Amino acid sequence: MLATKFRSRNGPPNASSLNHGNMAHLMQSEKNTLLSVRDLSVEFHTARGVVKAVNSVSLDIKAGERLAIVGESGSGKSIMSMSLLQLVQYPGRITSGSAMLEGTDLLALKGKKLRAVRGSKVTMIFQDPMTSLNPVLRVSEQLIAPMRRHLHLGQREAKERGLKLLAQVGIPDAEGNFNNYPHELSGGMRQRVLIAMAMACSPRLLIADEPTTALDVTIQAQIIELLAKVSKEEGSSVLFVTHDMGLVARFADRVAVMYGGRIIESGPTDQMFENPHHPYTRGLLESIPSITGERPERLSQIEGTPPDLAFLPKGCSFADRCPLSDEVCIETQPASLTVASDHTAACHHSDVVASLGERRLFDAEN
Amino acid sequence: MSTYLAKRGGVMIPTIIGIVTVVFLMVRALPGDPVVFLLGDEGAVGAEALEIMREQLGLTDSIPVQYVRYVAKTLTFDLGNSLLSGVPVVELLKNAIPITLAVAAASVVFSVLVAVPLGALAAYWRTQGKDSLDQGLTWFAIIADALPGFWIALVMLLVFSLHLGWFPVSGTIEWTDPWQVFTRLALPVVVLGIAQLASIARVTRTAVLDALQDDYVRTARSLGTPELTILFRHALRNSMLPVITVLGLSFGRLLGGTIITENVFSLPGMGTLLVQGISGRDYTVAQGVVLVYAFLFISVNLITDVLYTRIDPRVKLEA
Repeated sequence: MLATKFRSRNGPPNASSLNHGNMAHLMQSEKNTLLSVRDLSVEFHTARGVVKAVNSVSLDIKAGERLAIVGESGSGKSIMSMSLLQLVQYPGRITSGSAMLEGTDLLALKGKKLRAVRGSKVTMIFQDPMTSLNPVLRVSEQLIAPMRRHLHLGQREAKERGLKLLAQVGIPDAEGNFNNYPHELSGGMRQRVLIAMAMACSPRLLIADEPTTALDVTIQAQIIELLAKVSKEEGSSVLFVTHDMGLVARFADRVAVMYGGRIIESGPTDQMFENPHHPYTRGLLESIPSITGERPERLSQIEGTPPDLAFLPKGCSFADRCPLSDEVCIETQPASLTVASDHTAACHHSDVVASLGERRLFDAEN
Repeated sequence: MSTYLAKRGGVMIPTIIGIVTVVFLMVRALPGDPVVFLLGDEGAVGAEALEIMREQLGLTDSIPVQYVRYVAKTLTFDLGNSLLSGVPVVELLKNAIPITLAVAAASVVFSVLVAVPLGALAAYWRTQGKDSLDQGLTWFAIIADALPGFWIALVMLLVFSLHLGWFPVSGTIEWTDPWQVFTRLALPVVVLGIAQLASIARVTRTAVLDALQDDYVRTARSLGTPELTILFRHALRNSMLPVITVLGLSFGRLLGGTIITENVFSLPGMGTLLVQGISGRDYTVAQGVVLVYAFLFISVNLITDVLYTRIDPRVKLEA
């Protein structure tokens, strides 16, 4: 199976996401929903027209859960995650939706109340650690600021906690690096500092927007492990944006696949790898090379390019790249349907995809 | 750092010698004769009187001899006496330098204090989709660049001194009376500042606009940093390098501006001294003033370079 093939490459999966069929567990988890996003849409008004970067996205994250948002560049995954903290800048605009976190709608917050959530209850780490720290301020100044702001710590207490955090995220010589400028640290070290900043106020939700993309592969693994460790220690949920399926298998409890600004499939990681119901998800999995199995001449790929978000088609936005598409796909937008417990897919032909078994949907030879 | 400063200081000496040489020759290339300015023309006082005076002032020696004597004296900080009044040039400069420095420094401070926040806010509002201040600044810059300084100076003098009577038209400067200093210097400072203001505001606006797109701004925002802190602590500080560069470069233009402005406002600064020195063919005075101008300009360039390292820790000055 695809999932098995995948495991052999990445070691044992997370021990979570078991018992998903268990009703008691489901009800329990429903109660523990930390963040509930409904109908979130983000638009950019540009000279080319209205770019619909995010279209009616709904998702839930349970307390302590790690959710991966997967998609290729331009699928809207970064914009979606940034909009949760209202970090999308003009000309981007959140046009609809709500994001309820413990009784507050993150999207309706303004001014002081919004700033009180940013950096304390919900924090974010970004793709490029090389540029995400201010080059003219010392690590100490940048690390201490959120703690002083949100936890109202004095200079000395904040410094103490800052040093502890640096040690916690695995920065050697925390004392020495504390007073360094960012350019004196390596990329991996900078991402550790950014993680320390994000974890400083024990957030309920940590949003990680491709936190390892700009790092080299050996450092990637360390950073992911660190993220897993600190989020577990603090009991934080993680919304993890990535295009790396390997990281997803390793890190996430659940996966949501984005395409054309929509979530087209979501479910527990195991189920998604084992039995994808959307052809796009299926294509992503098929394009992963296997180390143990036989090696094909060419890796399979999904032909074509992602849709232009300024001119989204009337029907399914994946239709022009999908081997299964027919008139229905071109004419009508597929609704998101529950295909298994806690597993939804938005495809007119999800049953066909699910029944593919070992057969490939995207053939490398064509 | 100290080796860097020593090296830069070493480079200053040949630069200044070069400037001294050029000024020495240029002043002597001017048509006209200081002795005639001093005594009147030959018909009035007779050729003999002129010749004696020339001898006394050392003007009968050949140009190379005069040059060597001048350079040697300059190295011992003796700039000679004014050919016209006989007062040591150093004494004249002692009175004039503080006035020019005060006007120049105050105009830099004034233009920075006004232009930098304006430019920063224009950039910030632009990122929020409001660009009226930005457009206003553009128009202001075009107009301010197009209007000559002396014209602005004359209009200001006309309006604020003659019609409204808020500021005195002339008078000496008593350093012991701050209010008097303020009223005497306010108009020239504003006139000089306006020219600077436009370019500094534009540079600040562009640099801040760039900085506001930077990732660390997003990081700061994601951590709940107030917008004003983001603008002034994060974005502006990262935008100061180009602003400092423009300030340093425009300092030459500013010094040029002081010459005209001082004359319009009858301020007894170096500019006034220079114009008197040149129009009276008072070689020693003109040479002395230009020497100080050159020294000021070179020093400001050095200060600019050192400021870079204060603002951006990544900048290392290499000797």
